[in-house]
Amino acid sequence: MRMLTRVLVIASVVAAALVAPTSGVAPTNSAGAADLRYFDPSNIISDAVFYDSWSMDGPAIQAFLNAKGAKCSAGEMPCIKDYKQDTAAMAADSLCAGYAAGNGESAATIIAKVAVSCGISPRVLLVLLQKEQSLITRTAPTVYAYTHATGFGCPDTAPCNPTFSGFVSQVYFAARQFQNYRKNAQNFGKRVGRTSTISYYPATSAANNLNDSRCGNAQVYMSNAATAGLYNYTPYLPNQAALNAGYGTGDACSSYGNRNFWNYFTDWFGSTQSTGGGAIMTKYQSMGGESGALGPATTSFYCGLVGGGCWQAFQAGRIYWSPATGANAVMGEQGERFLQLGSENGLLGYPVSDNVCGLPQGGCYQQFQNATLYGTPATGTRIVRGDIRAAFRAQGSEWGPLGYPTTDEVYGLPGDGVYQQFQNGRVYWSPSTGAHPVVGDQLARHEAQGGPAGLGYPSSDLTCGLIQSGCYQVFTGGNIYTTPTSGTFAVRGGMLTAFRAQGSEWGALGYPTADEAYGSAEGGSSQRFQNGTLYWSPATDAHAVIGDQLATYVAQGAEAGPLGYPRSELICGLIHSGCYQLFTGGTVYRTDATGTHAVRGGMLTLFKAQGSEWGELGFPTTDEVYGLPGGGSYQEFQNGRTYWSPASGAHAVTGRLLTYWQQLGGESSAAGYPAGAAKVSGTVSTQQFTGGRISYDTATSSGTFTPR
Amino acid sequence: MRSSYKAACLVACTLTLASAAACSSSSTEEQPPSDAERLAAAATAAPGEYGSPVDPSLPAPTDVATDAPLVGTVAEGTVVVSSALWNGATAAVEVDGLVPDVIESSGTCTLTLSGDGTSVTTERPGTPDATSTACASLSIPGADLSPGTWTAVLSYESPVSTAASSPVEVEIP
Repeated sequence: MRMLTRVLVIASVVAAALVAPTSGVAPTNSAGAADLRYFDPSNIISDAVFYDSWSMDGPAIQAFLNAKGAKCSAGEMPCIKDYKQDTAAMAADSLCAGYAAGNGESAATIIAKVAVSCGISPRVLLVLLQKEQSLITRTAPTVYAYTHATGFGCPDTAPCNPTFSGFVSQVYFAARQFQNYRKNAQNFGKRVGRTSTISYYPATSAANNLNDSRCGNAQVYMSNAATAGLYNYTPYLPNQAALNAGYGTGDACSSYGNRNFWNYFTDWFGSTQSTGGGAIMTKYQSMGGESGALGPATTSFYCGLVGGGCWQAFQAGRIYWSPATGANAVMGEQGERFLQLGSENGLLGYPVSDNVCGLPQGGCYQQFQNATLYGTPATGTRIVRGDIRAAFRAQGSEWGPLGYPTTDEVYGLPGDGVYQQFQNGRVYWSPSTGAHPVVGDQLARHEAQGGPAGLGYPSSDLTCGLIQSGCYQVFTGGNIYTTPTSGTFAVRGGMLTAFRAQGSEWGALGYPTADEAYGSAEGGSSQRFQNGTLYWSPATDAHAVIGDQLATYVAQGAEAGPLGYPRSELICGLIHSGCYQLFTGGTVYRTDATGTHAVRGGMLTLFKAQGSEWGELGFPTTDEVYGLPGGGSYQEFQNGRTYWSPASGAHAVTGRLLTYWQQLGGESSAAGYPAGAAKVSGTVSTQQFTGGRISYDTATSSGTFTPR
Repeated sequence: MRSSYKAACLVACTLTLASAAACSSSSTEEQPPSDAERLAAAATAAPGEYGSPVDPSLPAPTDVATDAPLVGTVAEGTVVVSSALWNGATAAVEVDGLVPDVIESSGTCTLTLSGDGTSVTTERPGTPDATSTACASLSIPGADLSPGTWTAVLSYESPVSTAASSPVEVEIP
């Protein structure tokens, strides 16, 4: 017992704290009704709910009547679930759209038709029928119950107006009157936004309540048209005793009409309030209502969507509401795409804006929770979302270089990538790179390079402000470089590594002036830059050949020539400020004094054996010179020459002995080609030639040739 | 006793998790609730969502109190003033009211403002309504009235009825 008391206290305290009921007193009567502490005199029912004319159709109403009237059997009249009548036509006026005549129409059909014609919820009409004559649940209905079904024009103290008798007229004119209150409020006492004095009990002499002297009255603020209408229809406020009594009897000053309306409505159809429905209605009215762009409603508003959302359909579109997004309309092409894509459950989510038009090219856009729809007459309506949307926005959206989307996302690219085509470019996305736009010349170059399958996905936007007004964009398989003078070209793989090693666009190569050219010897390739060329082969990787080296190299036939591929960069810091670069078929040496010359083959072996540029020969001063007798060749160095012939191999001839041999006629003389290295003994140098031996004595400045 | 306990439990469980422990023990002895218990429970439940009543199968209540038919005559009835105010926007006194339990299209509503030793009147036809005759939008321009406190009386007259309101004070700025 003590525990029970405690629970009850907790319950009522918590309830009071949470819902701020209009009365602090809990109902004491258990006759059954929704908790009347939630009855708000100034907002008995919201407009959205009250005017929700599509909330039930005929079959739904019939099912409802069947359920509520399960225990009914006919009396003077059939039960309402079985009631049928022939109906006459009613002309449309400013309040209702008229009534089409019908034969043997059921009460459910009549209610549904009237609800739509007069824009009043059929649920309201059902409750009205119950509140006035208990027609929904009563057994053995009377004639009176039908002729006074809604109590319209039929006050309890006055004879009913014979013009308004019969069930269809009762329903039609009651519904019409509620529209009359709404549209012609000035003709009735209760108006939205004003506080009215409402009697608790009829202020009549019969009730001993003239001027409310016995039962008093209350000041009630009219929050909405529906509530004002209810007070016009039944101009009494239930007093606290009536509210405390549930469906039961209060005291001698209790009236019950508006209480019972709220009770029945809440028990049958849930809350009389709908945040979402109200928001949709407000939105609809702000768009001009029936005469606005949406046109008339074609459904009720439905709630219970994901995230607590609601929607309602109209002739030309829908309004969606959710607590997170508010109410927004979807119409036209955007609306069609929204529905195609699964509405609020699809990838768009709820709309967070209306469709906004007036963009360039006659474009429109509409924001949704997870995406934006863009449309122009030329491009159609396309969805932009996620990282691609972020990239698109970062570019300035439709005002930016991309223009409008011309496709949705396109899937099926390598590595689970995606792209979306825009008027002036694409945005590519991949899991590892995110989304980046590729436009203009870069896009053409990317395509020429095989797109994502070739150059891979962009991993940066285009970055400009480089030297020579250059720009570059990074892709997973290489970079694209652009300047106004050098053009737009890609640098990839080993070429890119070598290019970077050279200092990229700031380095000796400058910008690329061509794409990589394939098909060279040994499966190699090359790529031209402003100031040099990169050569690559599987064996050597990529190396730059620049300036004089390049001229020498090209003169030697480049990678197709005897030098083959470079296998180092130019290496400087040698004696005499010299430099060299290694190739697969030789080495190129240069100094300012001697120029740039290649040394290769037997000459190179000999040169190295001589100590290279540190040795007696010094740097080469010519390239190898061919065409000597017997297929021989020679190369001039600072301090001598090297000779080669197939028969003799390569040997150097230096100093005075060289001069003497040349005086003899050189390789064309009887001495022929050198066949060994010179040997020095004191002042005498001796060297074997193919045709004999030559000795030269520097002390006497005399030479001797001794034929074999 | 059990029904009270359950009703309390339902509210407590619905409204707060904090009290859930207090009522968890009752679930071990559940019997299907009687109609009376369900009605009582509904009487202490929040209204639920629109379109989703808390208990769709709730039995119809018995002994529903309704407004009793009244049989008084209207000849000595009252006019109820529901609103009498100075409307700054229209610069006029505006009075709304109704004649309860009278539905007539032949009556005339008269507003009389008295004050400063004079009185001003205006008339409008009554509007027959569902359960009353409305006397709405009776308006007297401020140009006809001096600032101060005026007394408004709304009266109604038809071939068969006569009624008047008690005086209501209206302040004219």
